[in-house]
Amino acid sequence: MTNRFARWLLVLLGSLLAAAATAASAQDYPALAARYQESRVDGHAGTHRGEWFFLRQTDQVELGRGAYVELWQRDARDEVSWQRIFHDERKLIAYTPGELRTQRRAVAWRTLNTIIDAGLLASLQPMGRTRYLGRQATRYRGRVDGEAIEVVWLDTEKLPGRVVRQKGETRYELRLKELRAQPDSRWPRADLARAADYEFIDGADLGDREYDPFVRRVLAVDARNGLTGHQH
Amino acid sequence: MHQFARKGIAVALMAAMMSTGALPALAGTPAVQGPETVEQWYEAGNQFIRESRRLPPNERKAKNVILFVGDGMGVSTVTASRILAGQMKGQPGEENRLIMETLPYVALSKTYSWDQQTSDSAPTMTAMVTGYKAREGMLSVNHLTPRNTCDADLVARNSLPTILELAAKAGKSTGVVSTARITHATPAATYAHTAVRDWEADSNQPAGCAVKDIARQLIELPEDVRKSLKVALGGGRTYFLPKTATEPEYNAKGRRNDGRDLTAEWLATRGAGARYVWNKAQFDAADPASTEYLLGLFENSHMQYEADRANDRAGEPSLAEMTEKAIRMLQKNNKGFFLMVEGGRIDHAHHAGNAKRALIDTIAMDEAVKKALELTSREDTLIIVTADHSHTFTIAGYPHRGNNILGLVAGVPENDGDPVTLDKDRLGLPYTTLGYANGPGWRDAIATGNKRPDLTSVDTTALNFLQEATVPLGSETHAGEDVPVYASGPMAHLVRGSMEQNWIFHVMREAFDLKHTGHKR
Repeated sequence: MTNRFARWLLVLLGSLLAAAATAASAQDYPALAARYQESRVDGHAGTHRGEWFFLRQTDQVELGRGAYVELWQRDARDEVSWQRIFHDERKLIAYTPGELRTQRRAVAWRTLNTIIDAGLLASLQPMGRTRYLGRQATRYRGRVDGEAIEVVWLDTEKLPGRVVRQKGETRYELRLKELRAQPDSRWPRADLARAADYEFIDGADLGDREYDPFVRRVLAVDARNGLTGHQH
Repeated sequence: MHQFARKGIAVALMAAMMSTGALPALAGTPAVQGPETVEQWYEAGNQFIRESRRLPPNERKAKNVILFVGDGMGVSTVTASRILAGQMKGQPGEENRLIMETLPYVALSKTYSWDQQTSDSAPTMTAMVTGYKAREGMLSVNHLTPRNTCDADLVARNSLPTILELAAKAGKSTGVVSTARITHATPAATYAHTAVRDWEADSNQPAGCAVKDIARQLIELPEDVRKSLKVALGGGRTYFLPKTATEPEYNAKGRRNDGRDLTAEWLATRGAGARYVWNKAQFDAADPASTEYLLGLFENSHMQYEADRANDRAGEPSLAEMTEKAIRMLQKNNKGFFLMVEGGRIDHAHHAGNAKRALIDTIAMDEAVKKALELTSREDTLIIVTADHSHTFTIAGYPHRGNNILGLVAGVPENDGDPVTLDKDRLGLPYTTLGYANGPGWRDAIATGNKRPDLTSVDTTALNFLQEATVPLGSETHAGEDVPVYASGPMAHLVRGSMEQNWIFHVMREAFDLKHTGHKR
């Protein structure tokens, strides 16, 4: 079981996870599928490289890495729910909007759709136009909390093409490698039809299921990643 | 610093300053004041003695028994809820009393189970409703039962009769109400027998398991219990529906592999007076006078936290409203009733490290206790209010009287006339009164240059604020200290002192005067 998505979301979004459970305005985001590569170079921990997939559709966002997929969905009342699908373990953990608020795991809908929050982007300096993967883009640069940040922002797709964050000996880089109208059939998907046979776990029940080794592993990873969106 | 030690230093400093002629301002008006007069403290104590002397033990046989269980409602949760409820009424809060605290008899319940120092809800509720301590994760089977057993005969042999089942055999009506799934451990322990609390639907079980899942057990109760169980209200709708069906609130699929619609079976097996409801409007329309059997499943999983209930898509009744409906239905039986009511989401909010939601749910359960007291007579109805286990929830520091229970600690000023200021830790940072020993509220403040987060400008009273935790865990844990037991009505005086949790069953059995002798094996 892996849960590196939470980790990269946390790294990428920084303090944005602190946003209250807010659904976005009715702003539309074009449906698309993206493949990203990331690398993290840490002076002490070495280098980590990975690949993950992003799928944006009407009122839902999928984030997949290997056999682990996160599915965020927005309903007609702008309420956002979250499902974590562990295909290898055949388990599904679901969080209702109320549970996301209770656990401070809610993420702004706009942030989920754009990976980088507009607030962060606004805090950076536009450095001019460029092209990335043949698409119109804008370069941004700046420092936030002592961290140097560079972003190449795809204006039409409303997605980052490239993000570099550097602080001390730690450097994180995210690169968009592929952008498609539809995901490749080999890309990881939530596949709720397949997951219908998985064991369903309410996210509110994790604390009462610590005797379950799978739940213990999830909680340990969550604790290590500091998944909960605190103000600090 | 201990308050006495702090005052000792203050006295020493004062003496030193007096010797040099530098007197601090001593004559100012205290910034913090309680509303009481000097006389009122003593008179309140006298009043308590007079009332206690007039309190005769009620030796009558109980016609009705209502067992309230606040899941995870430890003593600190009761205290903090009491203060929050008082502060919501504009009072300082500490002097407030929850309705449950007005019950005349109190004990402490030891919550360890046969194999756990700190227990989960399954063996603790099993203890309360069967009279026996049991194993982790098991519901109303004895501690000789192997883990994960699918041997239905073995489970039957090891099953422990519950107070609900005994009441049914005595001809009483019975009911189960919870804000959690009605198949969750606490409500399920009253009617189901299984080695695995998570077997709530057949899809949660190993293929071919001969032990019935919990939802099915609720529908396929033994004849006498089936006739008696008039009302079951809570969450867990999808556990009763087949995977081929779609439930109406969220268009979600059911969780049953066996293709059975247990809500339809409830209606089919309970006769013409049976009803199934899943939203507030249907619930309100169910007339207790004409409804013989009522199944209410108001969410796919747990019901909403009380703080979020108003936003529910289809509308949900409150715990007090469900309690009232249940009592009005059960009161139609002249032989009396047994009712279990659970505030099931106190526990979940604590696991999340979200104290405000936990306290609001506790206050909601207290409203249900109030409703039960209004609708019944203390002459013939034993009411017990307790918890299955505690949480690592603490009330810390030396906040002044009336300090916001959800706020940062601000102590009584050293000198009368001085303003109230925030107390600081050794790092110079403020801290909240409420906190947890472990859980998701731990914050990594290293990036901010601090060892702890600076909460000075944070609204710690916000609904979604997570109190700080000392040990970083993905979920806050249960705690092993004793929990309170409050009681009123017939045989309530048997609730006293330090009790093993399973003795609560014996109090209820004694009150009902049931002739069950136990020792089934």
